[in-house]
Amino acid sequence: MLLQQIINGLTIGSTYALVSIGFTMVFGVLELTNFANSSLYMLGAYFTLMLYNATGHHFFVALLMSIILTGIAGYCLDRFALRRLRRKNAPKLAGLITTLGMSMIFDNGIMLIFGSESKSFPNQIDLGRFYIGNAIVSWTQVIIMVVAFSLMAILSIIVYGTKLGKAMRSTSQNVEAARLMGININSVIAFTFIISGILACISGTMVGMYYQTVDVNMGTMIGMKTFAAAILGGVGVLPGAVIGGLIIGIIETIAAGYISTGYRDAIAFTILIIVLLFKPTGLFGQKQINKV
Amino acid sequence: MKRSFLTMGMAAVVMASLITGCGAQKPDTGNNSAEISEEKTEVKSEGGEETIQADENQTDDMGKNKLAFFLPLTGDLMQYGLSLQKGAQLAMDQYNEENGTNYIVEFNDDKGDPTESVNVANKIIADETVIAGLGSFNSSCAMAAAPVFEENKLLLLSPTASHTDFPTMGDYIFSCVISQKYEGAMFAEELMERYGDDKKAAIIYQNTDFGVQATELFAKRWEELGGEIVANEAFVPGTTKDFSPIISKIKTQEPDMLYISANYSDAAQIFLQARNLELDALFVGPATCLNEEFIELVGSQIDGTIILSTNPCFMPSVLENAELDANTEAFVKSYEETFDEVPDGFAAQSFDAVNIMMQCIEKVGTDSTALRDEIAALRGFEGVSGYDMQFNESKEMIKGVYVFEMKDGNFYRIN
Repeated sequence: MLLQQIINGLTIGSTYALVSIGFTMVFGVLELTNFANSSLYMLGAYFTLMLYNATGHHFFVALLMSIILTGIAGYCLDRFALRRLRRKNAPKLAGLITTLGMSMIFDNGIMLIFGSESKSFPNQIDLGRFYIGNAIVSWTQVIIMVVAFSLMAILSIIVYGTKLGKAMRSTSQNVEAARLMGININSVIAFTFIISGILACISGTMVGMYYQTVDVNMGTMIGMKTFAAAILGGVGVLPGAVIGGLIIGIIETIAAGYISTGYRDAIAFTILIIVLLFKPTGLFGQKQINKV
Repeated sequence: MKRSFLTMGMAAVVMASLITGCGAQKPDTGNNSAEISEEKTEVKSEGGEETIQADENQTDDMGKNKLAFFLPLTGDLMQYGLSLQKGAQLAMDQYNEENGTNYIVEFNDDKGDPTESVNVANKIIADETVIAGLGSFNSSCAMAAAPVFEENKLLLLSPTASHTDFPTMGDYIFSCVISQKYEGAMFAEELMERYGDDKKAAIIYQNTDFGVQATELFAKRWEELGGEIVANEAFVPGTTKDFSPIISKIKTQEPDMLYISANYSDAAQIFLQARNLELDALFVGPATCLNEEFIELVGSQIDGTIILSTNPCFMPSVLENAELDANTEAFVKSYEETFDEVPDGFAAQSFDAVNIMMQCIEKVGTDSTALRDEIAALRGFEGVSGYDMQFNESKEMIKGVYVFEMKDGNFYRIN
């Protein structure tokens, strides 16, 4: 059973990881807790579902268009709400509340159009199951993990290996200095939001396929866990988000399997707090030196 | 938007009353005294009425020919009220046609609002032609109105009020809804009778009032009948979608049966994930699953699943492929002819409520007390919202269990 539970945990963890990559990226660049991230994730899943039906069940066409649309939604989130706040030098808290508000707008908008009941979602990657010992693994689970790790790898390459990534990192270190170096801050931030939208869309679609349903609350359900995953791994560190997600997933599964299902979240968060007590910056976070 | 208008309106009213209040102190006090005197007269008239009723009880009651149904015909709950209305009207029309009588059922709008339902109840008890009250749709309205009926010794039968305290509110208060208290135990009995060899049951239930109560009673009865509960796991609805840890845990106990008490969407997830984890057991689901949405979520992936319910299912697809009993078939047919739509469960419930009432009136006439005794002695009523319907000693509704099996992504009634 332990092996089965670990596999279950890894899968749940991968879904957390998928969403928390996007979250941690925005935080890394803007130091902004993007509450709307989990709504984009839900939005992406609904876009895919809608387009899947509209295009006459062409899944990849639907996914591609959905990625573009959710990317645009991410861009709009920055362009029409956050950029204005930045220009006026609004306090960080205003941005945070704005993302919360945007999240409500997305959630309620979808609820208005689709209703609040769960929708059935087609599983296009249902390739069957295989066994490790007597533990059952489905290919969907494997694919979700592979996608999580490859997205992490691709984004790591972008952030740590390209000129654009360098611009992102310098923006995260010091916005003013980056602007003085000739970096177009607005386009860097817009790019970050587009990426986070795209990520949210892919992960929403993957998770939708895994559970074969999507519902309006899928984002809120997972939102808390993705914050936890990002913080556990060290906010702003991409591999940290993935590892953090996997750890949270496994802890919660083991807690549910061996201790009590009612306390699964409580136990997961207790462990998170204990880790943070000893390592306040998260497992992979670097110590930050506050500039005066 | 609506609410902001409302608050604006309220603010305006408050402002206006303040202004007039300041300007016209004297007439205000005058108003108050008028109100008081009005109340006094009201009390008087009520007293008078009771004597009149008493008189009527002693003498002939030919004047009574009306069932007063109060239900939401406007507001948020309107759609349910309309279904109830159609069901009740159909039942009454059919009764009159068969028996050559001309009883009427009068519909009063309570807007789904408990305050309004008390007003309507007062209006009903003031009407001397009323034999009995029916309603309301929701428990809160029915429970608000119940004391009014009880005080005036007028029978009140609600087709849909499900609150377990409702029937205990008075001797004259009845509900056609089966008490949650009995459902769990009855499901256990039905399952034991049908699948008695599968003794090891695993339970997953949602950690809510409803889920806890329903499964506790199920588990208790199941064990009394010689069954075994190998796992009893709760989950908090709305916070989790992944049940694989619970299911993996249950799987090691090798249950013969997986019994779920949850909303349809959670139940669908549990069944699908249990199937993916190859849990080899009989799946048993709750009545909440009997809807199109559930079918859409699970498709034909969990064929063989058993759904237990104390209400029949009026989904078009189920009606089509089920062998209906004569009662139900006639009801569905005449409902479709009259209203050009398929009936729903609410229409069926009010149809039954009217029929139960008329059956009792036919036997003992319109005297409230005799009617109450007759309705409390109801046994084995074959309705369209349930079969073998009866009231137990504590006036709670008991009825038979419907068993559905999933086949080719659809429900088939198998009993």
